[in-house]
Amino acid sequence: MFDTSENTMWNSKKEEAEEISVNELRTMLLTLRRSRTATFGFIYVITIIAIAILSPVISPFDPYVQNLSKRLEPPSFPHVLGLDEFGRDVFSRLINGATISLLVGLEVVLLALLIGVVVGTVSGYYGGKVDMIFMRIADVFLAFPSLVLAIGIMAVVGPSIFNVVLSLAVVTWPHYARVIRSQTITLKKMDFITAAIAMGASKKRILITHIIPNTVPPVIVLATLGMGSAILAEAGLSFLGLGVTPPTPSWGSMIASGRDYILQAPHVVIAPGLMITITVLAFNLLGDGLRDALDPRLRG
Amino acid sequence: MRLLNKDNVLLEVKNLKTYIETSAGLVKAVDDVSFNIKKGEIVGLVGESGCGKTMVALSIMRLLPEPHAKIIDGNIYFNGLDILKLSEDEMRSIRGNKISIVFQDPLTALNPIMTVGEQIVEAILSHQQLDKKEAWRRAIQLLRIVGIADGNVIVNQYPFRLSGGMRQRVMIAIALACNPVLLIADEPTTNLDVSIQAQILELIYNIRNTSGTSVLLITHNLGLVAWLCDKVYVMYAGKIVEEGPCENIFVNPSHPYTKLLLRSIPDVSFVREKLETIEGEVPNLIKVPKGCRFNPRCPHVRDCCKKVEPDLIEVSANHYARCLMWDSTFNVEWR
Repeated sequence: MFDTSENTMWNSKKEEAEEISVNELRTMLLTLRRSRTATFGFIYVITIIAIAILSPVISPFDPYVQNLSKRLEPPSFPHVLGLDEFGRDVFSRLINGATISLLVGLEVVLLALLIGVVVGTVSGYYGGKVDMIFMRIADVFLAFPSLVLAIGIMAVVGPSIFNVVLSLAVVTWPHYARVIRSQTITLKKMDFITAAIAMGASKKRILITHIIPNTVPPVIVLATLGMGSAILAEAGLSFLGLGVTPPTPSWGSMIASGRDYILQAPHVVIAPGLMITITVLAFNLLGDGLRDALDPRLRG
Repeated sequence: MRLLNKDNVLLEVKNLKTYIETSAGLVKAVDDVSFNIKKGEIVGLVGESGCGKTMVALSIMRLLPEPHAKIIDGNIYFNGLDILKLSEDEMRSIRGNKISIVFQDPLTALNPIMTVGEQIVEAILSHQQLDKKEAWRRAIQLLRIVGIADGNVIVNQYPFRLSGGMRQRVMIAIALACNPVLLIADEPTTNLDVSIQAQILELIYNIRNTSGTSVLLITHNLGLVAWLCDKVYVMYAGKIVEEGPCENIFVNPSHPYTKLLLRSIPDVSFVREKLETIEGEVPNLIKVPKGCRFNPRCPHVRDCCKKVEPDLIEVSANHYARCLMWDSTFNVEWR
């Protein structure tokens, strides 16, 4: 019924429509670059991930080789950050520890986010009894001091990296679920959702294409903050001897073992401490930038 | 009671009652409303804000905010099919496919983080088996149909970059995505500039003429209805108070409410000291006035109006009004 003749003009533009996702990514990065702090966060995160991946190649010394005659030696030429209580190279251990700290951070956030998105959207969208049950469960988790709960879980399942991830995800998902639920409730009353229903969209489609993408901006900030606190929590658990088992290096366990010598050899503790601080900060800055970049309205 | 050519009737609403439960009481938003739309017809549903027009539209689409709002009674036949008896899945295959709706506010009716193209494509793919490329091509075509010439640029834009008129065009493009047989336009021009309003209405008119889509145009502006509609229903406080062919309503308004509505249209060709308004406001639909619902605001009110609720009475051929002055048992004069 409508004219279909003017197709030639469209043909030249056909590729354009297909390249949307590529364009999208470019616009996002451009927006990200406009903010100096976000650029710093972005570059730092990329660098630290590269270092973590390349750690076996680039670390100058073996992080496990001990040299007890040189224990607690302060920074000097071949050992730029000095040696720890067993005479191991702190710089090498720092580089190798990045792998574990980052992996734990990423995995905890992804796992918690997965649970949080499912529980939050279902709970917010369907409401009623489902909502009641899910939210009371979340409340139980929130009512507990999270690190204490994580310690409790670790005590039961035993120390291992996988268990660290699991226990931290279990204690953090309610935060995501709560935020996503409240977003969902606000969103489902909006006109464009009604309009989508009026267009014959199914509930599943509305959740996946309209609601979940619209919860991304606030959640991305929470996720990067969560990344920081997961790295911190891993450090805390390792510090208590519940995280990674020695001699595997992680930033947390390095602080834990170095704390006894904090007055004689502060470099052992300061180096991983600074890394944790800067990394957490960088993730937060990146998160702020990402939120702006992901929301087309804030791109300007 | 009325003669209908059954074959030609696309949508028939019969004795529809839609009530809303509120903490203050039961709101009788739609109270025994009947009307029909024939194939290819543009039908106007006119009335002030708060008289139940949108609830009629939402009832037809079965989009009422349940459980507070409910259809208590009545039937809605679409192509002879009783819509109210369909399952949610069956209803979904009609929504957007056979019946589409354009909402009042194009600002909020588009997903802010999806491009215009993605939203049109989504609408197309939800009812049609097309591959993605084909759907994108169709999206650009639809934009051209609704008067956006550079559709290939606009498809990649986000809604917030477009003007109100453009957004409403996009909404109409989405509504047309699957060639609906009935388009419900719920105050499609209320939030637009006057010059854009005319363009949008012309667009709706052209769509009807080229594709034979029936249109239910919901508006509070009788002026809009004048040149666009074939048939007009005037609604007041949940009831139809006057119905008939467009010309009849304009030449010979037979309910005091219609008459006042017509007089309250701004008209530059006609110098008046003051624009006329209708005194008072739409009554609270929880406690509707006894007798004729319009009696507290009617300039011609008589004692009987406060006691007897009038029926729709035939004034001339196919032209009905709900006013006692047409009832021969009462001697009411208001002209």
